Amino acid sequence: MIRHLIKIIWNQRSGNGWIILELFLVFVLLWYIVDFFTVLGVTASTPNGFEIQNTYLVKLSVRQPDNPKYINYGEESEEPGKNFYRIVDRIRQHPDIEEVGYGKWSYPYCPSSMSSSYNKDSLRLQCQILEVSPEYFTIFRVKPEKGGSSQKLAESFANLSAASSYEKNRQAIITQTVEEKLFPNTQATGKVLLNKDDSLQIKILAVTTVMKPYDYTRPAAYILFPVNKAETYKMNDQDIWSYFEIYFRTKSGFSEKDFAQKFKQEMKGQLEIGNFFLADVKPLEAVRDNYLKNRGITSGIQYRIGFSVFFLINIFLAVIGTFWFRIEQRQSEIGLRLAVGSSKRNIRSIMFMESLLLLLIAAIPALLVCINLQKFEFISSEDLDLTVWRFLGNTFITGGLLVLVIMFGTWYPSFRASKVSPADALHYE
Amino acid sequence: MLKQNRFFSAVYIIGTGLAISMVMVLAIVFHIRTANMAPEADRDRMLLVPRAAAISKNEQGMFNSNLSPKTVKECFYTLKTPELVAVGTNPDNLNYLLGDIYAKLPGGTDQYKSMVMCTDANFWKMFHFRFIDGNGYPEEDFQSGMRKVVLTETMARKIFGKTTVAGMPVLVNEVEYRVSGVVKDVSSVMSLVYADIWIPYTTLSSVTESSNAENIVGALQVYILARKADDFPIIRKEMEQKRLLYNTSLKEYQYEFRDGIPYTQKEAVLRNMDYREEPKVLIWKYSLIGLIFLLVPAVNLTGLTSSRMRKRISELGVRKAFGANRSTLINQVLIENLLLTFIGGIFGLLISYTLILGLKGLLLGPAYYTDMSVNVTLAPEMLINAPVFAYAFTVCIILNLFSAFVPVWKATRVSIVEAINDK
Repeated sequence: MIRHLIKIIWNQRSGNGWIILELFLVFVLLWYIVDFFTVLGVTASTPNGFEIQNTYLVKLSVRQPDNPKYINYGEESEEPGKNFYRIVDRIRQHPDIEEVGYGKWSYPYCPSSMSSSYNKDSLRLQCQILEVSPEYFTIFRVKPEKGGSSQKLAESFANLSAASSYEKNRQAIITQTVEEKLFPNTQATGKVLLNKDDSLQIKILAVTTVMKPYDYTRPAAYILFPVNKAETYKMNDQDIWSYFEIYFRTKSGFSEKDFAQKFKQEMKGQLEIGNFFLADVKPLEAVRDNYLKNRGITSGIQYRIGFSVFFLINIFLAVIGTFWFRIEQRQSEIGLRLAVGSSKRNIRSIMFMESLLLLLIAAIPALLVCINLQKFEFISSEDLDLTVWRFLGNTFITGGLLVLVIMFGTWYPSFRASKVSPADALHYE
Repeated sequence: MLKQNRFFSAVYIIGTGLAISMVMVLAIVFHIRTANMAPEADRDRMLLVPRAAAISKNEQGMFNSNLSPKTVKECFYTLKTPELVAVGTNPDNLNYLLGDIYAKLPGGTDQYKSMVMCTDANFWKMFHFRFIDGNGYPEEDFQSGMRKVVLTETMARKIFGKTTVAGMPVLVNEVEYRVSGVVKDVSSVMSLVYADIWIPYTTLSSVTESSNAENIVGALQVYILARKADDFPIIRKEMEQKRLLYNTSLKEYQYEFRDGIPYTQKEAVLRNMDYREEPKVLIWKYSLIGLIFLLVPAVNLTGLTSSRMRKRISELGVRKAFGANRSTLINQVLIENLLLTFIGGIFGLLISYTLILGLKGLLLGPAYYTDMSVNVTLAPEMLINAPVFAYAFTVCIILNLFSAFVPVWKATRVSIVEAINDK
């Protein structure tokens, strides 16, 4: 049968040339777009390393000196820092709140970040720095690498905050990614890292699971330090406001839709302390949406869906149009087939197989191009490694989509053609 | 002819329409972002300085931010060639400095989150706002730091419930301002001027007293209006001179333009997509993408036309036999085809309008980091105008030549005998 089909295709080569060329182009372009979705799907299915359901970010505002209610505390005052912690304590009193924490550019999906390079022997790694209060781990359910509870991580920071000196011996928690890169094949817990210019020794208290900056990418390297409370007492209002944030988790089983709104109304008066006042409370889900939107990730997904639909409709039109004509031209052939005993189903399957074969022919050079696209890194390896699996995944999805489109595109023309009576069709001869 | 083969016509028109709509979406978005439209009515005569780079002399540190009032005063207000120099704040940077800003009535309880832009007085001369009430704040008020405010119509209605409110007091982050004027709402497509509220930057200490990098960087962006676009090279040269002079007064840091600053509006739009890339390279890149988008449907349409031509070969043969020469035949078929392409073009233009109106937030929404609800309104004249039609017409012609010329040329090459024999 296949030889027969190849013969048919060869005899119609001038018409088929176009459709093969088009299938080739569409295959390559679609493959390229599908890769984007493969990366999205694969990365989204790996865990983020934190959980944000029922967590909220508290946004404060700070009065400027030109505000009539501005309180001038003077340069050396500890009052701004104290006010900040008063706010944290008052939120903690709220009956619906399980836990409240704070940190320096540390919450998931924070648009600002700071990072520095750390080293161990000759190995160096750029790590994002998160300064957090012990509650960070329990609020966002960050877990130790080897299993166990978030509570354990929180305790290792809580026990420390009071006693440790921040000057020479710093202590930190790292993520699994850092351990893999700086301590290959060994345990990092209890060992020591050095900062960029080797001036600080950092003892590693624990290792967490991998953590990602956002859902659709690979895990990043994080190093977590406890917040240095003494330092915050030296800061002024404006600096505390721009570096620190407060977040909390509501009690389990307690998830109200308009909780943020209610909380805001209820607490507004209570949280006006010093020059700080409550500006907004946002569920972390909303922070996430905003992050993805501003990084162009949401719009990237929408654009690509648009482009793929455009290609698929085009290829659908091409297949339906071309087959329409070919079938009209081949009425006599179809008539003959019907006359010598082919069933209608038979005719339809011949047409379908024929176009599948065309796709297969177009796919061979297209895949050569795709292999090279991957080999020369025209697709990005930033979020996912360039593996054979990625290539095969893309190829199967692209092929599957095109087979579907071809199925729909050939169905109607061949359905009509097979309905012609043999006598009518043969009449063309 | 169209009726002769309804199916062919339908498939052909839909195919053309899709292709044209995709390219037209790109073209219309670019048009809306770069053409002269009030209040940004002189975009083609403008140079923009959105950022400043301050490099420390020992190469240790670098600040890349907006500009400080001092830098603007030293390097830009002193320019001789331009007609006018004005400044406005960057919304993200202002949010970073101040957080969310709220406006309310003195003594009122309801407060409204507002997008604020701090400007100078020239701003009101440079951009063509439509005032419903009052005026922009004058130079004296700006210089003396008078707390004046211009509101949009919507904001005035929200706060006061009416629009004739010039002279009335309003609280902006609890500080009392007086309404200087009320303007018609501005679409966020006007990214240079878009805001709910405009105030003189001299009234905000966080804007006037930035101190980073020897006070080179701050929160302002500079708009330069040239008398004519031909003056751009002279202005660039003058800017460079001012910059070098300014640097002689600095000790630790150097002020640099970087990334091809100053930008024309077109360059700014392209740089917004990718600021590291030269606008020329980007134009090539996006033209190439556009071309690939046209290529797929063009091949599709070529396939369709060529299968149709095979059916019409006998007709062409007969006409040849009766003495029609080849160019007549080619012209006839091309014009026939052009008719189809035009119907497809109109269809495509309608699809692209629908797409743009439906996806305006995605296509034309501003890319602020700040979490703001913005107002992406599109006036009819932004979509329906001569340049847009001209783009659509050009794309139609290109697509038609692409898709019809090759098959027709091939079909008319067939000899008379063969063509008629085909019957």
